[in-house]
Formats: sequence, structure tokens, C-alpha cells
Amino acid sequence: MATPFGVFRSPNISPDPEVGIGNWSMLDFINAMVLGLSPELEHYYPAFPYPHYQNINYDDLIDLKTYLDTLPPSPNQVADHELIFPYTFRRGVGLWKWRYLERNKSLRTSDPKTPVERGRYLVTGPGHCGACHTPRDVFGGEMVDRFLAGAESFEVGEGPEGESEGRIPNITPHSDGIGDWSETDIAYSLESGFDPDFDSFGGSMVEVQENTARLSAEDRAAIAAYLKSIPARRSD
Amino acid sequence: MKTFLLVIFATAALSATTPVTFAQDEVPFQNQIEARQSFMKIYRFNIGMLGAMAKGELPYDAEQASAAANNLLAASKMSNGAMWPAGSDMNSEGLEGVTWAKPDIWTNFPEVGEKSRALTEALESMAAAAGDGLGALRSNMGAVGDGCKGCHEPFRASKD
Ligand code: HEC
Ligand code: HEC
Repeated sequence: MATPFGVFRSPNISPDPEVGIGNWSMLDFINAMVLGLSPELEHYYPAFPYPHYQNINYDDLIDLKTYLDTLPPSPNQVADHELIFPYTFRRGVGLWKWRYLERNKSLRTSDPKTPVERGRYLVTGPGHCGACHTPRDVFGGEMVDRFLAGAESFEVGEGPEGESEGRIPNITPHSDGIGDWSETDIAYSLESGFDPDFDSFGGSMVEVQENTARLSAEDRAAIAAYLKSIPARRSD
Repeated sequence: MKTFLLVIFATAALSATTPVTFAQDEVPFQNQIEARQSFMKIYRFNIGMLGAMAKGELPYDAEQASAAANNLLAASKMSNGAMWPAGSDMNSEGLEGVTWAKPDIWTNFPEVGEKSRALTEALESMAAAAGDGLGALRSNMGAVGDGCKGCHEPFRASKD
């Protein structure tokens, strides 16, 4: 992956014992997802978005690993043209965390009480919306005080001069963002891929939306309620 | 269908070598770019009718729904190759902030053709179903949305 921080390759997380994570224990997996440490205790680069996965409940992680282990092993060392883990392989492999989250609602120990809390969990945890919508500092870390205020596209374009692929929109309730979208508008866009003007999503948001389309209507409404509750921030 | 697409992309290939320029253009290919963006707005307008019904913002009306779906179908069959001359992508000189068409379009014509064909197919079903009630309309929205997103995902950059 060509990013402003160099080229990243997404890891193979199929259960292939040689090149995948077939040999990882549950503990290795949770270390990787929460602490960003490989089983050899090496640090992953931030392109493996563990900062977001530390917000996922352990029960959900355990279930994700269990689910990954049921997938057919893939001997691919690394796939070409990887985008941001884990959005790209998901479509091909059919994996989807949201789906497993859905299936296992009952397993979760600390179920958030209100829609806004549930939305916060989905946005900052499994949805890791900030991986794209929050700008990064020079070290590639997300700028907390600019949370979801829009960012330079993470991927550098593949044109001859490596042009940027444009900006990722501000999704805070500011007029630079989606302040004029109603909660219904937000929830419907996550369901259908159409914005309130009925232009369709493009770019990397398409794969995200294909996943949010599989959430329950309540979860999409929760995301919408949460996005309406965060501080409005100008774009840069 | 096949011949039709060949026609579109034959036209596109041709216009790549002999692009028409217009005297009143302030930026290169302004006319073609405006035309294709307006073409997309025709899509947006009609899908907006169907979507507003699906979303519950507009009461379902069989006649209006069919009309919108048929407009979309007709538009998707329009030959528009001449609106996409080579050198009119977003990275071309003077076109930043004017067009959001990625250069990859011009190196992947067959794939762009497949994307338009996929949209037309989804719209065939939508046109057949839109007059049959809100349920039928709703169950076809997803495929039509996929038709739009399927092409925007690889070939169009974000406007923000
Ligand atoms: C992989 C990167 C990525 C992730 C992760 C991501 N988005 Fe996006 N998002 C985008 C891009 C790129 C666009 C612009 C799409 C376009 O213009 O066609 C976008 C657009 C949007 C928009 C429309 C904004 C507008 O003004 O048109 C909303 C709303 C949105 N995203 C919400 C979310 C939510 C909620 C999440 C988390 C569940 C999320 N996004 C995660 C990349 C991402
Ligand atoms: C075969 C590819 C393709 C398909 C299918 C497609 N689009 Fe587009 N669309 C594009 C490209 C490329 C652009 C960018 C054009 C430009 O900026 O010059 C675009 C731009 C747009 C725009 C923005 C126009 C503007 O004023 O900047 C809208 C709205 C839009 N499309 C709606 C739709 C809808 C709705 C559908 C489905 C019914 C759809 N499109 C299907 C390729 C496609």
C-alpha cells in the first residue's frame, strides 16, 4: 500500500499456518489486535489499525478469531493492491466483523446502554471510522483534537506523480461536515450508499458502506446518533 | 447490448484521438466535463425520486416511480463516449477541482464498459418493478446503488 508513510502490505490473517495466523494462539491474536504486537512481540505499523481495535470488547475479539479460524486458509503471502486493513480482504474472504458482532450480541459483556454509547462503540471500535476520517500528524498518528474532521486521503494516488486521491470528508456536525444531514440521512446513507442528495458513495467508503449495510437498523441509527453528538469541527 | 457498448467505447476511443474543443471553454474540455457531470445529475435526480420513496420522505406513487426508473434506464443506454476525451481527467493540467474523473478510466475502458452494463442491468429490473409497489421498489434499490457505487469506487475521486 502506497501511503504518505511508505508502502505497507496487509498481513494475511487467514488460518494458513505458514503465512497466515493459523498458528497464532488466542492470546497472540488479542495482543495483535489490542497492543499491535506480533507473536514475536514486534510492533506493527499503524496501517494495521490496532489503535481502533483496542476499543473492541474481548468477547468480540475472541469471537472474531474463532470466526477467522473457520475460514479456508489462504496461501497468499501478501495480496497486491491492498488498501487499509481490513477493508480489502473482507469482501473477498467474506469475513465481516459486523456480522459476527450481530450474531453475538448476546455474548457481549458490557453492552452499551444508550444508542449514543452503542454508536460510539461502533464508530471508534469495529468501524474504525477515524482511520480514514481523522487527519494524521507527521508520525502518522491520528490527531485526537481533529477527530473525524476530515483528512487527506490515506492512499497516495497511483498517477505518475503520485497525486493524492483527494480528501476524505469531515463527518462532524459542522457545516464543513455533515451538519445538515439528519440522523435519518446518515443512517440511510450507511444502509444504501446514497447521500441526502442521492449522489452515491465512491472510493474506499463503498466497502465500508457494504459492511454497514449489514448492520441492524438500530446499529446504523446508533452510529447516526453518535455522529450527531460529537463536537462540530471545521475542516482544515 | 454488446454492440451498443462497443459503440459507446468505440466512440470514446475515437474521441480520444480527435477531441472536440469548444471556443468558449475556460478550462480544457469544459464542455465535455460539464456535459458528463450534468448527465450524472440526471441520474441523481431520478434516483432521488425513487430513493425518497424508499426512505419514506415521499409517498409512494407507482406512476412517478415508473417514470423515474424508465428515465434512468434510458439515460444509462445513452451513448456518452464523446463526453470522456483523453486528457480530461482530474490530474490533467488545469482540471483540479473541475473534474473528479480518475485517470484510470482511460486505461480501463473495458472495465468502465462492464460497470455501465451492470448499471443498465440493475435498471432493467428496477424499471420492471418500480410500479409494483413500495416493496418491489425497495428491493431493487440496493442493486441500482451498487451500479452507481460500482463505478464511482474505482473511477471517481472524492470531492471533499
Ligand atoms: C477506508 C476509509 C474509510 C473508512 C474506514 C470510513 N470512511 Fe467514510 N468515507 C470515506 C471516503 C473516501 C468518503 C468519500 C466518499 C465519496 O466522496 O464518494 C467517505 C464518506 C463518508 C460520508 C459522506 C460524507 C459526505 O460529506 O459526503 C459519511 C457520512 C461517512 N463516510 C461515514 C463513515 C462512517 C460512519 C464510518 C465508520 C463506520 C466511515 N465513514 C469509515 C472513507 C472511509
Ligand atoms: C460507468 C461509470 C459510472 C456509473 C455507472 C455512474 N457514475 Fe456517476 N460519476 C462517474 C464519474 C467518472 C464521475 C466524475 C465525473 C467528473 O467529475 O467529471 C461521476 C460523477 C457523479 C456525480 C457528480 C456530478 C458532478 O456534478 O460533479 C453524481 C451526482 C453521480 N455521478 C451520480 C451517479 C448515480 C446516481 C449513478 C447511478 C444511477 C451513477 N452516477 C453511475 C462515473 C459513473
